[in-house]
Amino acid sequence: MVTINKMHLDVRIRRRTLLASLAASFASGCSLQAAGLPQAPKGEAHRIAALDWGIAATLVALGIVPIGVPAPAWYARYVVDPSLPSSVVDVGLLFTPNFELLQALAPQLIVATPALQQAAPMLQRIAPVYGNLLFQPSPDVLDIARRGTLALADKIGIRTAGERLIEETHRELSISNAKLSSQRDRAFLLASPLDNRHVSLFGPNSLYGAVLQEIGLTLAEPNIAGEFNIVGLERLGAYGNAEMILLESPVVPGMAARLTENRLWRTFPFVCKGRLHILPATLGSGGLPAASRFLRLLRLALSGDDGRTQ
Amino acid sequence: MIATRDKLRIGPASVIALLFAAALLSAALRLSELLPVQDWWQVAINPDLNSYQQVLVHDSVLPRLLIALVVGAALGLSGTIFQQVLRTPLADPSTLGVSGGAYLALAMVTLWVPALAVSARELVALAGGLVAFALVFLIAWPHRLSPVALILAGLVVTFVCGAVSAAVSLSYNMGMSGLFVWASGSLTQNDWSAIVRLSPCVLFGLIAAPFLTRPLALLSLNDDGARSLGLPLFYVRLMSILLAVLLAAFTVSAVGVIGFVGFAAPFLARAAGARQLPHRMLASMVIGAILLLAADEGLQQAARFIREIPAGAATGLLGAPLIAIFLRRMPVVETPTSSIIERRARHPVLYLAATAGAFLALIWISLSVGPSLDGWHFASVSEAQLLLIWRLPRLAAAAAAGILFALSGTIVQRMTSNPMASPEVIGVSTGAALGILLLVLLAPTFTPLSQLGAATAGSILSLIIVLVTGHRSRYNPDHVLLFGIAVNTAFAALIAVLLGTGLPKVFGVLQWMAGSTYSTTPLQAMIAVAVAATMLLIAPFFGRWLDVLPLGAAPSKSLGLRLSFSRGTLLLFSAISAAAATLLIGPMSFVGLMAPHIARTLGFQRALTHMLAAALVGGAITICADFIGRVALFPNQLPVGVVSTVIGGPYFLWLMRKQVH
Repeated sequence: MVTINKMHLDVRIRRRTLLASLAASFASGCSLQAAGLPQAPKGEAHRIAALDWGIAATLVALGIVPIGVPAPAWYARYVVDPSLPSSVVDVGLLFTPNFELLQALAPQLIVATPALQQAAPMLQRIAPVYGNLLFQPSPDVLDIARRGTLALADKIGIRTAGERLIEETHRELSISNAKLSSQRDRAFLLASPLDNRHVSLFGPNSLYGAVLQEIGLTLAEPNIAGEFNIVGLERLGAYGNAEMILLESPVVPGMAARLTENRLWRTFPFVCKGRLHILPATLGSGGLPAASRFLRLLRLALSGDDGRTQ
Repeated sequence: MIATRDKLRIGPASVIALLFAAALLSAALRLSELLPVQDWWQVAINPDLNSYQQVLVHDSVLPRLLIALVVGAALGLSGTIFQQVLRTPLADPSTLGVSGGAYLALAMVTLWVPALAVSARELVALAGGLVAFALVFLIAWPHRLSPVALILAGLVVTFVCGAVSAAVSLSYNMGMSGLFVWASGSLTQNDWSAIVRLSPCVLFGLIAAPFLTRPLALLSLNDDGARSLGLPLFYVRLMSILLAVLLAAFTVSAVGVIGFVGFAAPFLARAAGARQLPHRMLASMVIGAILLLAADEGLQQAARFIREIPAGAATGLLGAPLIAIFLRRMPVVETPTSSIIERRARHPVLYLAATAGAFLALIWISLSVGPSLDGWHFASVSEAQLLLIWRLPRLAAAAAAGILFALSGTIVQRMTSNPMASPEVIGVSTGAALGILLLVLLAPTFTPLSQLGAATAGSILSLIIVLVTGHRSRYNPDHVLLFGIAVNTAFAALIAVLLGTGLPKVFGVLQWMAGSTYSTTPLQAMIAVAVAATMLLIAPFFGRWLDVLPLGAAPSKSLGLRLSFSRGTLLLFSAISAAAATLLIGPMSFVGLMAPHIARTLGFQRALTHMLAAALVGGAITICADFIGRVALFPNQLPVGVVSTVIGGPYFLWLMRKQVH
């Protein structure tokens, strides 16, 4: 009962902050208005509900704060950067956004992934749905993210912002390419711990793998069809000369560091030769902002410089 | 004895021996690829800590071989004790809620206290399993730990744990891979800690079991018979169950859920000719160990070509056909079942009308009340019309599913005279779930229509398997249930494998699996209501069959019933109902178990009124569940399947308690 009451208090507070932020974005929205949203009434900011964290992150990077995002608290844990302002309304769970709440928010556009295909007929009753945007890892994940970002920007009518985001990502890629050119002769393993016995081993179709290959680095395990394979910890020792990029998992925080307690882990070549790099979590379906975040973290880990100077 | 009688047939014993030889050969092959044979002994005793190969063999390959044997033996022993105490071949170590509790504990801790999940995973799982069992134990206590009370309580606790875990998993979306891997029972090892924790427990079991064999053997008599021999029935049950639960809880905490071994090993032991309890215990341990070792070796050999499948999921796949093969040789015994006598309603029509009135009131409340951004709100009739588009379709779909599950459950329970039977038990719901899961994973895109097709195909396939295999026994209730559970376990294992792949598409399917009517469109709702109405209209024609069949096979025949035909038809009807309901609210079928019970407790005894009352009760449960799921954690929404299980479970247990007095 207590939790329910708290929840309501929470919702009411968010309602107030929502109104305040609306007023604020009304003022700041003028610059965006120049780009012109066809169906938008003049003088109002973009009211967009983003029903996926990767989409929400992309929107924020494009300079638009979505009015509603599912489970913003989890966004903060999984995406981290770019962060969501507290004005964003929690519209429910990732796969079941709340229709009644969405209708109350009165968005002009709902952006969703195909995972919400089933809910699309009902979402259509609230606002036009742009629903084929997918930043899920797949072959050409970076190209798909670029095209998706541009299509999203086009849909909202802010193509220049989309082009700018692609340009920024491109800059991150070339900086990393230059900074890490000395690492070309090595092979990289990309993994993330699931528990104390298993890891996800990422392949070229993951965002991380695609980014590594894009900046000219080599993957030690290129034969993974999906985003990742789940393998036993003991398998990792077989990659004799590899550098290990171990991504922290937001699900089991601290597990990456704890693995050093394991005797077998300590015999792995990449551990005893000091070629283990532990990176903070990055959302694999986070689109271009996630790619940039991963690049910065990678540079920091491999060359001690995240290149934030410019 | 069987082995000597028909030497020409490949008996279960020789199959097991063959499996063992193959597993040893495979293990030796793999070891020789890693290390020269002359080094094996030295590496096992004293590995060179600077050599990756040597530590790998010592800390990973050897513990994995041993853990397979130890876990298999523990599950075999635990399963034998469970089956003996609970007097049913349907029992296995997960029956009393241990796996469900462990899973729930891990899911909750991973969500809310991730640090604890990192540092004390095994302890969390162990605690969860034991707490769940303690709950089962407390519920069954007033029933003097009778087998039926224990099984029912275990079933309910497992269901509720499963539902809450599903709700927890759904709210935490993509972090599920680790939990799925755990649930599919991976034997991967990288140190000796699991062996060190598990071995003393199994050793203790080995020492304690002989003290229990004599009194346990007498337990196969019925309660009165055992008591007349001066057996302290209660204490025998208590000690045996505690031992079996400890074994199960420790294995679950060490390696996760290993399906089927605890169920199959005792079964195979009996099929292989072990008759007396001490023999069966020993044989089950040996068979369990070999089964798991062989499965794990097979998987590691297969991993050269395909991605590795966890052992727990694979034993389910491997074990199910084995059970089916050996079940064919079991003699068909028609046992008369004692019917449960309840008070009978004096005015069934009045009672029905009252139930229907409550049903309609629920619909009205559910449509009008709800939270919004500004707090709770009771909508007037005109306001409610605006909200109707969001609230009515999902309510209608939920109600239709409740009615369909209730009809299906009533038929299955009356037909089998088995209070534990439900559509989920005969495997139909799981079949539908598998169909959808495969479609989502294999097809590039999917529409609601193709999902409908896939679910129907899946449920019909599982139905056909049950029908074909059940034909020989003339749909003997026990056999149908056994086959149903075998089909169920195989499908559930396959689902676990698919979930364990960690493909992102799978997470979307989870929502459906937990039973959500969330995205129902008006058209889908109308179809659902039409299907439920049709089934409600057909159901009364089965009234006489369902009044007669519970009397047993012989009386039914003498009353002019064709057993195969009537049982087959009823099975088909109940399967179609269950498939339709599964499509609507997912494979959680607690409603199908609960509604017929509640209806009977309300005093509806005759088949016709029983079915109608159960349908109303089922619909009312799912409507309540839909409402609660919509408002309880606003803006988050809980799937109706999850909520109905969570509210239905305690109610069911309360009913059970009442029956004691």
